[in-house]
Amino acid sequence: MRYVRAGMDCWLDGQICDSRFHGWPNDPEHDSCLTFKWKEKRQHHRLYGFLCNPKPASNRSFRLCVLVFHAYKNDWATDPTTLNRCCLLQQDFRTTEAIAQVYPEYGETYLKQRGISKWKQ
Amino acid sequence: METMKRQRHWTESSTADFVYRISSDFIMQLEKRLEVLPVSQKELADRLNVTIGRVSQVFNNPGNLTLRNFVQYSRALGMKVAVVAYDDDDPQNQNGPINSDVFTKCWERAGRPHDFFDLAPTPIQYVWLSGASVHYFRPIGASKGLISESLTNSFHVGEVVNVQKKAVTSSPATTAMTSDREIYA
Repeated sequence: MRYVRAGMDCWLDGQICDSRFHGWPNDPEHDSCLTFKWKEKRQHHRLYGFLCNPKPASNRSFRLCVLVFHAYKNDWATDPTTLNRCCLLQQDFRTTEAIAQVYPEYGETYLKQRGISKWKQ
Repeated sequence: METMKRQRHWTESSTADFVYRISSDFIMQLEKRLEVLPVSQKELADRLNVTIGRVSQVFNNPGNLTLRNFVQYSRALGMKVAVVAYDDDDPQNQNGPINSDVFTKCWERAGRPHDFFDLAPTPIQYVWLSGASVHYFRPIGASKGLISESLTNSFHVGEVVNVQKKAVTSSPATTAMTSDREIYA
């Protein structure tokens, strides 16, 4: 997994490297999606996720990449349902709750937007 | 970029991991070069006199590259290699190595210096004060300080030029000039 980790480092460093990872900035429906790529034993792999800002109030430029699932890739084009699943998971309450455990500010903003006082126990 | 707090970067686990990471950076630089030239992996394999399978293997798993390989692969693409040791104030390696492309970009931004003479001073900006007959410069932010004369090229009044010190081995060590409007004083 060192190949993937090195690719993640590139993303963290702000480098552009389409051979290791890329998003879909020109696709308005999926412009928050990101994928890390690698090949192992002639099989193409993908880790799909989405980008969000878990510190919307204190650091507006901060970006978190939440990887949500792994897939084998056998076709050239990305299946849009895969990206749709990413977007759905991004909207999922449980995802928000999980992110909020690490970044409380994310949860606070989420609750505030919806007029909820606290997480359901 | 702000990142989550980490105890140790994954490259701290072993020397092999660290080597893998810097080799991976190197391969990414080669990938970009292949794209820019453009050169295919097959052509690179031909230049290196190895099989395309070997090139593909190296690109997918660069962990076993030797310094000799680094040089061979770079030279095959018309590039050179420098091995750089640096202190980034991270002795515990919490942040991992600095991406090698950062060093490349810095080198390019510094004007691609070839030696320490090229590196020496930070360019000082001067403003051109007069026309063709009297060639004087005034350092920006200073009231006086004429430093140069007898320049062959003309500049526009008010034009900002960069003045750099350069090692001069003969003649008055004050004025030399290049056509790309850099002035060495």
